Amino acid sequence: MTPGPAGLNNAGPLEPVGIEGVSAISAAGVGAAAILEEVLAKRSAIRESPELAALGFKSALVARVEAFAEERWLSGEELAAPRPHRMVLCAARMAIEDAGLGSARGANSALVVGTSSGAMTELVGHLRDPEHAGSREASYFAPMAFAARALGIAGPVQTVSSACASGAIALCLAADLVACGSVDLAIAVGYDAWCDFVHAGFDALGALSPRIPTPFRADRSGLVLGEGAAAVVLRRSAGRRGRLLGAGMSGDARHITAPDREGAGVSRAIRAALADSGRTARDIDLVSAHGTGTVHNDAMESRGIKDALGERAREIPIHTIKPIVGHTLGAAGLIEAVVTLAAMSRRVGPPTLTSDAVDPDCDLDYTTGEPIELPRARTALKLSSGFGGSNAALVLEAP
Amino acid sequence: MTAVTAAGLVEPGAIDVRAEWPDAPERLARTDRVCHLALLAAYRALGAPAGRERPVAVVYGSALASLTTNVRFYEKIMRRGARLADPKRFPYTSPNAAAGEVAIAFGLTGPNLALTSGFHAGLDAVLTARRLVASGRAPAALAVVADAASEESARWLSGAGLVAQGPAEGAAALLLEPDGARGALCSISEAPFEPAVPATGPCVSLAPAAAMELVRAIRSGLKEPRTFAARCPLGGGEARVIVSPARRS
Repeated sequence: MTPGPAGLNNAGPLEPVGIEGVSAISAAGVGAAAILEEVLAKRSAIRESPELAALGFKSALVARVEAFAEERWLSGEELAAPRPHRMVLCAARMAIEDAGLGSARGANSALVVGTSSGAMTELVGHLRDPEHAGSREASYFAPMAFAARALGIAGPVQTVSSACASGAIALCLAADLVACGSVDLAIAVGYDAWCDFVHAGFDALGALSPRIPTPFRADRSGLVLGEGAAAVVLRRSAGRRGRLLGAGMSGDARHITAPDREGAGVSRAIRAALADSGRTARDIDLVSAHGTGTVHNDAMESRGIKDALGERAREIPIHTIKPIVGHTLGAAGLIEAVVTLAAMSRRVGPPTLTSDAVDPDCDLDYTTGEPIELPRARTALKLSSGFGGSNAALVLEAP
Repeated sequence: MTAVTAAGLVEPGAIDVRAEWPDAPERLARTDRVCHLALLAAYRALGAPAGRERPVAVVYGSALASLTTNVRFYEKIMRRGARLADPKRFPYTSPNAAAGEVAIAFGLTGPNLALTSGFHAGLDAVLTARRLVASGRAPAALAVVADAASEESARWLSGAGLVAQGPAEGAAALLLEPDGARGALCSISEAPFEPAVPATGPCVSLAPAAAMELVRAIRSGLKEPRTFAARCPLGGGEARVIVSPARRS
């Protein structure tokens, strides 16, 4: 984002936005540093669920978040709230603390939340048991509303529901609110709680893998669902945890679930993000791919990266952490962004846990061996894509 | 300021997309009612698809989005068993399905996003579309707002202790372009954010209500600036848009 005029109704490119605090909650751990350790060690948090196996799904694998010290972040009353609500609030409070702030209260603060399923877990509970108290909470926006009330956010509140690109798009919209001067501070959260009906849907589509995914490899057979949340606190600042230099979004306009086979939508999002950031392909040191492990996603994403970055695409280490944390849907873009920032601050290129079965359609460097040292890494590209053909690309700068 | 160069409106009641739009995509039969409403509003704003891709953004806003399809999908699973989920219906449980369908039907390849922020999601979508154009993220943006009436949505509102006022369903679409665009119907700007007074009553207007009112006002000929506001008593969210008559060149 090149410098431009700030102001609610002014036109023009926006300035970079500082990332002051981050948080992440996943099956592989809580906190970006903890998750990064698991990624570097190639330890997957994906497990077989006997409950799912008993239901007869093609895949009974899942990466669920185990209990963590929620009571440190939530009051007694808040602990009784539905799981999606608690995830959003925990992630936001962790990021606020990481930013060194006591609170985000006030009308000059915004909350932008990205999710694929919202609180549909509550809808499921209500349908199973009409006496279930959760009807009012069974909406896409209820977790956002709960967190906004608890945090005292009196500025703009938004819920982005753009499937698996929701987290990355939430970060982009939150940054725009800060950059244009609408608010002084914005919190972007991405989350999704695992839900059996979402599992059933992906299973029916044949998108779930019966084993730990092998992204970008010839034997890849689908994704494994995870769950989690992540948050970032954004201000017009130098950014203690890094900066969002630019963002780009696009639509495939091709198919409601399948990605554009040529990766044209991903390519457009990358090009827009680079233009927005004032950077070129030569400036990119690391790519955090969407990398779900489905046949079509990984091939099209590789094509999109090559189309947008040209020859430079073959020189940049690419990785995906989905074999470690699962596909966390609306949380994916943000969890992966904060882990990328953590990796860059340690000057390391994370590896991809995958197989050795080379696929000629995926012919880039996916860092399939050990972690690599990147002593001069400064700038990374984070990619996300989702149902409906929604794509997002973020250009992130290390602190 | 950002110009509104086209607008479409779908009032509550029986809709027959195919009767009005004979060349509507064949896939229409697979989509749900909220997608039909969004597609028809987009068609009434844009006319027939140009047959080529355009880098226009789609920003879809809805309060309940795909809630109805979610309920039906899950009830079917409960009846038939989890292994027999319907793969053709599952994509429409995703709240951004309407945004994807509009982009596919009209070849719109700009940013594609769905906002389900609450009962103010309609004007929230208009404001977000305006920001995308003002910041240069898209040369034009189509804000599409829709909520569908159904037994399931009525049950949800009742279960949540809410009473819907205004239209039971509907849709609106507005094409936003940079200020000075040819054929501007009006200009839109963003009102400074003012936190809403916490609501105590159970009344809510569905997401399209304020956007539909905005389109009606444009059509009736604006004489002076008007502010349109929408708020969500459950979420505390609010969106306010100032609409001004188009500048004469």
